[in-house]
Amino acid sequence: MDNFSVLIGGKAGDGIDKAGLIIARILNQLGYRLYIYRDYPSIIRGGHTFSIIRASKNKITTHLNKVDFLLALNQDSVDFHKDRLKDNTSIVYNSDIVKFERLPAGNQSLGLPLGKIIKEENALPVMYNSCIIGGFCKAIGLEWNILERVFKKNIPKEIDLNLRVALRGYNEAREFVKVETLLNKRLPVLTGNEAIALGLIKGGLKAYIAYPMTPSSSILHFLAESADDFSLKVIHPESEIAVILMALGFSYAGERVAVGTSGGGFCLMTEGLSLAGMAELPIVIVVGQRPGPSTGVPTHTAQSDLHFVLNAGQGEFPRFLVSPGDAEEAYFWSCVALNTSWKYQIPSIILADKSLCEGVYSFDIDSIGEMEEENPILWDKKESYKRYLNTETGVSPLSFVPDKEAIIKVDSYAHDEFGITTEEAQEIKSMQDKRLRKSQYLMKELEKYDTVKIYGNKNSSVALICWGSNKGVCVEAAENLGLKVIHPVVLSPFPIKEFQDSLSGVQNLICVENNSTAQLASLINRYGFRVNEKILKYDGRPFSLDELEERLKDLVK
Amino acid sequence: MSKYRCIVCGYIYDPQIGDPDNGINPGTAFEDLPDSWVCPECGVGKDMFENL
Amino acid sequence: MTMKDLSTYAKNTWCPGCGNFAILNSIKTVLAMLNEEGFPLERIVLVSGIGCHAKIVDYINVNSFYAIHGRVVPVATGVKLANPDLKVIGFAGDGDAYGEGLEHLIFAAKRNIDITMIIHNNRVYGLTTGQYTPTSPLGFRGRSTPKGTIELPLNPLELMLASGATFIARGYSHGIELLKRIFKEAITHKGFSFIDVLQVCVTFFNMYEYYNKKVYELEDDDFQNYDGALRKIREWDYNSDAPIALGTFYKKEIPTFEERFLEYETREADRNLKIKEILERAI
Repeated sequence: MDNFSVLIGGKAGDGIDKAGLIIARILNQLGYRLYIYRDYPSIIRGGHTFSIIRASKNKITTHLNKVDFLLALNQDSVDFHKDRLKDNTSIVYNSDIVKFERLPAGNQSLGLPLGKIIKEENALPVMYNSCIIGGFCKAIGLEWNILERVFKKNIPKEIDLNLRVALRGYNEAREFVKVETLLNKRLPVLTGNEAIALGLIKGGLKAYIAYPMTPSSSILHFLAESADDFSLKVIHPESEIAVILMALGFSYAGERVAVGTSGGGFCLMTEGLSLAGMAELPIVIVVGQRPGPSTGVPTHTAQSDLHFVLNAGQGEFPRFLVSPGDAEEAYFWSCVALNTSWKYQIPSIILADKSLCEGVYSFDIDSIGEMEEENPILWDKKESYKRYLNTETGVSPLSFVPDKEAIIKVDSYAHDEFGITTEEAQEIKSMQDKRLRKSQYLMKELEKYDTVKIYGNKNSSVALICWGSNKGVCVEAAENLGLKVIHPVVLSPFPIKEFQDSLSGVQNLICVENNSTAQLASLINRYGFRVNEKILKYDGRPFSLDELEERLKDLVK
Repeated sequence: MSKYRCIVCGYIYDPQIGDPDNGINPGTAFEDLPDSWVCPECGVGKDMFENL
Repeated sequence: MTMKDLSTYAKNTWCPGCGNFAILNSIKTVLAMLNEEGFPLERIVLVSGIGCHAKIVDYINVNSFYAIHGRVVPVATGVKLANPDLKVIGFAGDGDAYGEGLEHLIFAAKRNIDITMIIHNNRVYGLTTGQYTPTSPLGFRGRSTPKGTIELPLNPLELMLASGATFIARGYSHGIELLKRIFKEAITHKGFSFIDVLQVCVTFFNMYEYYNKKVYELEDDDFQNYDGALRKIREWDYNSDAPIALGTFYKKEIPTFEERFLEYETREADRNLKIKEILERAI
């Protein structure tokens, strides 16, 4: 059994999130590669929430609809997921509230009286999940000491009580199937947001400023917790407008800074974005997409802000936009985004989505390879300092306050080389040319990276084109069906040549996106490329592997 | 000859220096400045000056 | 450092007689004074918003950030938190600071961030040719309110006092000596300094004669306590006929935001090592 999925479900407040992570870390000890799909509503208590933990011998970054184990803390967890059960799915359930008669006939099941056990051990209701995890571990033939080790490492409070309750579950359960130990090296298991945060730190981040907004808030929380470790200045101010403008103040003073938000918060930042473009102030903005318009569906996923983010902010100015497909790409490209924004003095946007942000991944840092240090071009102190010196590349050498020999002026108005406001026609034009010119040099430099990656059957005439977190599901589906996948990671400046090259031999191009208007398809239209078919999903949920394969089979008939 | 100060912007007219950029030679008393003369800093007329 | 050294080549485009000249010349005098007293000018950063007031940064030869409307305060805050050794002075108009950017002003006072905010309060939107602002009097006939405004003005000093500002003063563009004194006091005050300058707009709302009749200077050392300051601040509501006090209303020293914020050690740790540790913990 080297490829299986576990669904754990309950109500909000049951600790399902943490439980899913612990199960993943337990399976991690057996050498599996993990991926967790988290599904939760926008409430604090009640409702229904679940996680699907998928374990495999190989790297996986998508989930399957059908599961092999169902851990049900309540009746909803059985009722809502009937369609996910296979004939041989094993069910471990809270026998105090889940009615045996309402379980599907034919699936082997194990009832644990969680309420009774908790009461007997004088434990808290939030520890139901520890008990059911104990039962699950016995069901998969896991050695107790592995559970104990993982619990001790991951549960900071009431560890003895949690272990006692888990042991009760373990002892009262029985083995269903022995899950094998694999020979893989053990990898860290973390969320996409944590990978983004670590990538920014690797790139030299000094400050992070954000206003809480799902699904980007956990970057703020993680960096606030890690502030002392990395001497970071982490600030949560009064609004997203304050966020972006404070960040530009940091940038002016020479400190590498990033901000994070979602669509609605990004709306408020757009005037600041345009200021960054005109004043040539380096800034990184992480945008975690969720379904809109407006408040939309806060705790679910979408890819419907691509064109908004590509075009936001009045006027014309270059921006660097990346949309990583998994945790390794999130780490690598966040670092590149920060370095790029300082080297070219342009805004960098890391466009993610709830799927990536809150998905949990096995993270293989060794697979990323060398990450170069990049430094901005500094003033050589030869002639008097001009903050906006017009150069061949359009990039002006930097100096930062306090500099005894330089006066550093930045300006939101059209300005001359010294940063003094101007309305002169010639000056306006030449400075606009300067700013746009930076884009060309950036495009040249990006040639050293894999800005467009190809997966699957490289010779197939049918290719899937996707962006962001859809990489995982497309790659796995393509590998199963013998198709090609084209995944552009850099979307601005658009890597036209690399994209063109990737289309060689392709006769049927199918876009796979989580939006209703095929935004990547219309982006490539701009450069003269067309898709032949569209597979779109915009109900707030990501594609599952089995679902995409079904839709592909229908299309490619 | 006394100095005069612009009450709008604080510019000090010093007769010993005059206002050469605007054609007023050093040694010109404030009272002798043409009526059309304005404060070189902020552009107001002689009526907005006070005797220091 | 002479006043001429502090000027840029930019041509001044304020109207003749504009109250902004007084603010410009006062701040230049104070900067020159600070420099003479040993404070290096390269550690000064000026921030302005959008409006006639904001051109001030084009005219002074010192580090500056010409920002956007209503957003002087967050930019100034960011600069200060990035490098607390800098002295950050913000210039905003009343429309800018009391309208578009009011939330930030309140938070700056709440945080007691060590920056100085100088408000060019001409009680009109000048650069956009004559609309009412949050401190225009009731009945003000402007281009967006031709029949006269139907709302009372804010009392910005009262708002700042309630928000926790630790230095509150008011000046007048036709009182340059007092302006210089208040600017110097505000800039050297450790904490959030707020100065409302009644700045005459000769083109759209010329209050010169009215103010001359009403203004008077507060006595030194008066009103260092909250209740006394509040009483004096409420004497004039920016609307009715009343004496208009000028000078320092309130001054207090409490820990600043950046003092408390930067309490941890800032030595640069080996990042790669720390990243490795975090990854180890996540296995």
